Amino acid sequence: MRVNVIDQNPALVSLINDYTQQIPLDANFFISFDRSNTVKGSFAIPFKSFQKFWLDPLFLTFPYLSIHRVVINELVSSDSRNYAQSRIDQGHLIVMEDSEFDSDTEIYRQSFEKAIAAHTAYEPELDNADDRGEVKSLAYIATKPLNFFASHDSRALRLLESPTKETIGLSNVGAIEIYELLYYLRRMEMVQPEDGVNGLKMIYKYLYYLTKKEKLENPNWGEFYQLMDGLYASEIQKSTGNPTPYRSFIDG
Amino acid sequence: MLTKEDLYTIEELAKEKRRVLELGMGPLGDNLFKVIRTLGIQLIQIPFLNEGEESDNPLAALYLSSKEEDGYSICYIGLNTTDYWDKQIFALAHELYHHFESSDPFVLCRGLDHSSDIRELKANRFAAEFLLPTEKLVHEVKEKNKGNQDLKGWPTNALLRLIAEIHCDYRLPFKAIVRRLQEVGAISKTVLENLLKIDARDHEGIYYTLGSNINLKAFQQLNTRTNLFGAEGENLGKLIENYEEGKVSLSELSDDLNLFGKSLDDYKLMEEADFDDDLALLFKEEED
Repeated sequence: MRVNVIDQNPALVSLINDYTQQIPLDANFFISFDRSNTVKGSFAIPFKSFQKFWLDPLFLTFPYLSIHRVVINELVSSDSRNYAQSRIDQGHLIVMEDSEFDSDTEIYRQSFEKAIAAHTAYEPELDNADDRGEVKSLAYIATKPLNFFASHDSRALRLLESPTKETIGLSNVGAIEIYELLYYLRRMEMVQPEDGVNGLKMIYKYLYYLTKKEKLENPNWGEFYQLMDGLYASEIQKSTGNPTPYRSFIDG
Repeated sequence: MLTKEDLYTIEELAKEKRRVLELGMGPLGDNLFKVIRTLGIQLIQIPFLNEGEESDNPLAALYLSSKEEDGYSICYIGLNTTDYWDKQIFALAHELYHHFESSDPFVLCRGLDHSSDIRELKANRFAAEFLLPTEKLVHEVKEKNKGNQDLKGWPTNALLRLIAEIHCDYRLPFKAIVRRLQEVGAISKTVLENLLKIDARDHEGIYYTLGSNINLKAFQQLNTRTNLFGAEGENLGKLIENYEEGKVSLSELSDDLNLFGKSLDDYKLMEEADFDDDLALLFKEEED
């Protein structure tokens, strides 16, 4: 996947301005990254590392992460499922339920779902598994309405980048990608100074800078961080509401 | 039953399609696959297991078309490859009728032999006509019968040799050829019924022996259940083009190929990890 270090993402700017907004997450945020299907010589990140370097800092930083009910049900790996469930039990992860909507709003939700599904492999009448999580999440987001969808799924991201989104109720929904959150976590010092920072760098490298082709297309971590700073550092400085940095937890 | 008008219309349709597709009037055989590709129909082969009798086959083939927003439509034929090869060819030609004629975007065709549905009868008749045009059949008969179309008085063995020759050349299943012979008046209804009692697939039977001696390779192939799974190379090529044009990611392509029992490695598309830096931190936690 390509990282965009040229254009500012208004969704990320909005998140920088107010990190306490609700951020709906896609299933792939909970499933340990695994590129072994597409990259020879690579293998899945063990869940322990995935949790330590990715999930824990994410939950430490953002107070209103959320996940749609069907996405939880689709988490097959027991590690991912248990992690999500324990975060729900601790009150750190909001579950988005379609049953929250009253009958009038539910009509809107269904029409959004139908419109969004038309661009995916999901058929609401059949309730097939393909793309169901993304469609249900996006239909919920459009109905609420919420500002973001955080995903690592190319189909969902394509949909949120295409002009089509204007016609299916997603015109105000921005996509937040993993590399943007990696940058934010690093910039806000939301990880341990040593291992944690290296962990973010390694995740970046694993996802975006692993093959020869990616090394030609994407900047290395140092350049990436600098280029992202060029796009967002001033926004971060302007922002008054920042999450509490990791260092403060230690010092405090 | 089909009316004379139905038969005429189907015959004309088959002729017209052969003309448009520049197929001439000769045997099509395996070129039918090329026709399918030329028409832009995506062929998906599925070995759909038949647990009952052959006549109860739950699926011979299906035709599916999907109209996209811009008016462009994508058409698919799903073909059950647990059928014998000649029946698969017949089923493909049968689905072509649905492609040409049906406004229904989804047509599921079960065993083709015993259908009484008028639309299915028409599709069967089209398949037979498309694979073996009436005038070619009449020509084949007259060639072997001193210019006569009526095979009255021919011994069964001679009839079976003629049918086997047509079978090998035109790739139409035995039963379909026998029915065609009756339709063009070459054999009587009684002879038809007697011929249909023959088990043409029985390796020890007279028909199989005669057929094997006419063209062993072709005859054996026609009587083989291919059990192939997947899409044709060209169709999968489209998936790869989508990746190369940046329309889908490598990971999506990998998932799509996987549906057809293929992997990125089969197309030398797997990228290689370039570990010039140490990713060990991510992976060492496993041992902790």
